[in-house]
Amino acid sequence: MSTEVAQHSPGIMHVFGAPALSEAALGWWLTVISCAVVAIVTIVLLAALMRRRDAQEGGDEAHRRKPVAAVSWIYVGVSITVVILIGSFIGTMVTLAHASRPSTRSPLTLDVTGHQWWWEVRYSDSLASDGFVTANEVHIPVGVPVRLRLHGADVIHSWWIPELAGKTDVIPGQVNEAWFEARTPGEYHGQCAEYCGMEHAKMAAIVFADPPAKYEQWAAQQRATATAPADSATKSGEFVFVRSCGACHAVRGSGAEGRVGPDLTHLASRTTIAAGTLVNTEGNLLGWIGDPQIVKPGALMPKIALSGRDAAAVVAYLRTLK
Amino acid sequence: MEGAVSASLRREAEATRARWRGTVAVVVVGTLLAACGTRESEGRSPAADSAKGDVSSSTASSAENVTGARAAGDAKWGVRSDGEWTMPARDYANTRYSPLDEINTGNASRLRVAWTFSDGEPHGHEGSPLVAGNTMYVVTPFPNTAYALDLTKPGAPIKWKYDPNPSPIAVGKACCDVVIRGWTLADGKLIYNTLDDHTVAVDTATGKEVWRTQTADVENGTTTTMAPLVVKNLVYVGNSGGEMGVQGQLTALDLKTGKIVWRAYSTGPDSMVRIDSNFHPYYKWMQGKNLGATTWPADAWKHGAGSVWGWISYDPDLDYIYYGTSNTGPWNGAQRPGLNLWTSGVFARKADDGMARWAYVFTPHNEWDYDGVNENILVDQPINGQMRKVMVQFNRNGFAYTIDRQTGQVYVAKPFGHENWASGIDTTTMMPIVNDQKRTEPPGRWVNDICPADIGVKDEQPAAFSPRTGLFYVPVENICMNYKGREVSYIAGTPYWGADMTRHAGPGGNYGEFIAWDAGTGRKMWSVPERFLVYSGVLVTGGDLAFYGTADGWFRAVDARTGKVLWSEKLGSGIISAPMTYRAPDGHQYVAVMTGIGGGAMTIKALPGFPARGSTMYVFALDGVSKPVPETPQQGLQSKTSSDAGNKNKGKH
Amino acid sequence: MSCSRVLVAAAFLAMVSCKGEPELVRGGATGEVTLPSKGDLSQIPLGDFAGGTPNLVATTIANPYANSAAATKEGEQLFQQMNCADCHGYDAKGGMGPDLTDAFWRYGGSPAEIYKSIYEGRPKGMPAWGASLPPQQIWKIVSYVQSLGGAFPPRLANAGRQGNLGGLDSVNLVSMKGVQDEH
Repeated sequence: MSTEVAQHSPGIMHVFGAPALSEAALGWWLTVISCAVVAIVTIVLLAALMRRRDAQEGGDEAHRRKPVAAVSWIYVGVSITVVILIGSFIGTMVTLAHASRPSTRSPLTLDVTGHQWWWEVRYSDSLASDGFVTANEVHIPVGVPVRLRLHGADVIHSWWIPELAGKTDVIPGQVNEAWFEARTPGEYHGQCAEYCGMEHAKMAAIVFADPPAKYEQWAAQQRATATAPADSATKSGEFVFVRSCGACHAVRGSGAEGRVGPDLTHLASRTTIAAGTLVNTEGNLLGWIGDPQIVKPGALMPKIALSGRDAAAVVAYLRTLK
Repeated sequence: MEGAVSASLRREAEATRARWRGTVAVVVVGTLLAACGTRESEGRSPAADSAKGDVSSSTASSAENVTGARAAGDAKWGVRSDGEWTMPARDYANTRYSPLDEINTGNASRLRVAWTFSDGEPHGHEGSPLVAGNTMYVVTPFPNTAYALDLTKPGAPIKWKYDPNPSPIAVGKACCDVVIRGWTLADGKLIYNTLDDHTVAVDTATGKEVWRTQTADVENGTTTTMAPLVVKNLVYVGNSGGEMGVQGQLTALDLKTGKIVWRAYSTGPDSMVRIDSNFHPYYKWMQGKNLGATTWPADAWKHGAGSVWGWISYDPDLDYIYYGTSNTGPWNGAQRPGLNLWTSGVFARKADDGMARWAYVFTPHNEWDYDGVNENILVDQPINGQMRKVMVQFNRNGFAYTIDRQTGQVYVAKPFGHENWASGIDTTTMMPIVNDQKRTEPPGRWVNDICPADIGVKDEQPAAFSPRTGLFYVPVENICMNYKGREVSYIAGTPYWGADMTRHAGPGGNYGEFIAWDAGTGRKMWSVPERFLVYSGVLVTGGDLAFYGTADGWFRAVDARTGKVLWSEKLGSGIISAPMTYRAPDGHQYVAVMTGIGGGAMTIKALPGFPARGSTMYVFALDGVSKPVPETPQQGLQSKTSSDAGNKNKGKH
Repeated sequence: MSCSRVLVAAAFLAMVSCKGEPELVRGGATGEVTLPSKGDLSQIPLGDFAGGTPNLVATTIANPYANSAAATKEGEQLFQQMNCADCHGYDAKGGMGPDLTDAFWRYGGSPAEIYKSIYEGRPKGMPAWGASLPPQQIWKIVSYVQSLGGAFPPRLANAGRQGNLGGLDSVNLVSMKGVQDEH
């Protein structure tokens, strides 16, 4: 089996979207202030230490210095601290408010459902038939605030795309709301951030921020039904797929309409499989279908035991699902 | 002094005279008013006077002015003669009214069993026997054997028997018992549907199959339980499978050959639903192109149900057929955001080519299984003082609708039983105002005490209409549910359902009720409560009797004007079919009802006293057997032989 | 040295991938189990053997997941996800399909017979799942059905066929918990 996904370590201080930008700014400010405070305190402390030695060497002159100078330093210190505290408090409140809802109305709402161990993502539209579903890889238009409704299917997960926003827990029985907006196009990797079982570590999500035109193109492609098989080889692959995989997976237009596992209607348009665990290549698909338990032991996808020929046919079919 | 006294006396006398005059005036006027009032209220029950109705503004009882009557022998409405019953609801208007009056309010207490017939299938019996000429026709639940019974001979012996041999796979795909809801007679043929999606036509004289047509594939979960309707040269057949993820359809077959002429689906683009520019739904939210597809997530309409498993009516003047569509599939609404047209609604279509003329959806985005398939009874009714051609449906969702059958405008929509899922119907859009606390979305949690339960305030068991009283006679359910939904995958041949439920009685504790209803104003006139479900259909007659049965097997005759129970008899099993009446060759009136509990009534099978299964049809007449049977010498010989045989066989296993 | 090891490994792989061998399955949360072989299962007829031989095959085949709580839980989830609950009831007490908690089994109530009913389907509308679900998933569903108490332990399979479990109801069979997988 070929290599796993190149390790991408998204940082929380080098960010590309809202509200992460304001949160990161807050973080930097707090860091700067903390460092400044530490620096000032250290300098003053050292100065005090140094001064005491000087005073002792000076003798009587030191005793005759007015104590009021020391007191005024206290006033100065307290004032500065209070100003900084209030400033930090206001800054934090503003950042929290900004993080809880976007400044402009969000035209795009995604319903994200956390499953063990994959993400179901549903796009809805004003016309019900324009909605569609995909899994693990989310595309959004750049510069548009995207509202997220988070649903939990089984246990508590947490949705976290560090370069775009902070963590929001996904809790079964309630709908949590979050939002993000990508300021620059790019690929933003995320991770489930709440321990949710054996394969918690292999439950990645990727957000692709596209220029609006490219996003519309992607959405139109996702709305379309799966391309019908063109030749007999693909047809037989579809047949095996519907028979052996259709109880759990859906490919719109094929007859497979299972909802237990991810929707695969446009699997070939995704860069990874198994929630970011493997790159989406022919070899990896074969390996994954051959025995998912080797890649993700404990995953709810069982080993199907297809013959070599059937497995190859299914993979060939899946690779046509652009 | 004297002047003053006399003046005061005079004043007193005048005052007294004035008082007397006033009293007399009051008495006279009062008497006149009372006399007028009495004339107006003739024919009305006391309950009507005190009930409030706010749709109709006519002061006279709207019920009196309802003609709706199909005169005896009105061939236009499909009736051949007084004494016959040749289609499921007796006439195209679905009134289930017979003018026969030999059995009436004066003598109903003399009803006795005349003869019985067991069809041998211990499943739910929902169909009504048919009588044409001297023969009665009965079809059993699966395996849908047909019997012709000779009414000229005592005991109505079997004339012929026909076995269609349906596929047993259908047994495991039928959601709600292996019932058959009715059959019909036309052109010398008995026509009915087998559970495994075949429509068969059987020659009534010989019992031989004339044609057979398959309308769907049982392996993907479609079954057929409905009673077909024949209009002119077409046989209309609808599918079942609202819980199996089917796509609802109505198929028109050629009466002579059985060939499929056209098919109208209940969901999908306009071309599949047979909608063109002549389609004019009355309300804005149902106007637009391809709503049968755009009000669903992509492709979800292919398994959206809207199956056509209920009753069909026909208006010979407008040449429209009317029928309802089932609940939406799956029950979990969160999987199918959108209004989900055209499920849970009613269609009016041109009878010959099936093109839709209007539609109305009773429960858009249905989350509770409130089907729209119940019978649409066609009557002429005064609404706000003006005579209108309407159709009346007692819907699963608990609202009784009076709808203009030409335009689809809803005149009346009032609850006819206990419901709490909607606080009312918006009078501009005619959409229900849903009570958010009773939504079943999102799934995965228990929502308690939703009323009515999935089987509704009335299920498929059909009501009846009497042109003599102008009232509708309705079997009512008082049942609520606790419901937990789940997300569900479509796997062909398995249920596309996703509902865990328990059910309990509504307020009052009685599961059933039998009521009389005025559809002009939307008022209940009287009611008979029942402990068990009233899951039977209704028969109403010219003798002013309304017949109905209970789930525990009581068959009752009630005075159609007052609601007083005049006669009851406990039968062998529960009753979930509609009774019918006919005139036998001996000239007397008989009432026939099929017993055999099953169907949706099984939801309360845990109730103590719930009956066992049965398969017997009972036929009643005044004083039972109408004439004695003379014993011929030949008959005597035959009986001796059989008893000898009986003796020989004693002792053998 | 390494050459011979390779040969041995190749030989082993060849053996293991032959049909008819018990399948070694990584059961995920339930660990590794050996499933009954297809060959053994095919020996169980739906009826009785002509010629009067007692039909004892079902008494020899146990459900490898019978005593695994994790497998039973997975089986219950599959029972809902594969729509079994909508036919047989969420409490498995019947509806469109028969009651699975009572001691009456038209096609046999031992684990192997229940497995075959699910795998092959049955004439009155029970679909065949053998093509859609891998064997270990079906055995997990059998494990769930066994946990409901109506199924017979393998050693009582023949007694069940003979009607010699009369008088035993599902309550009694539940009390036989722990012997569900005994031979």
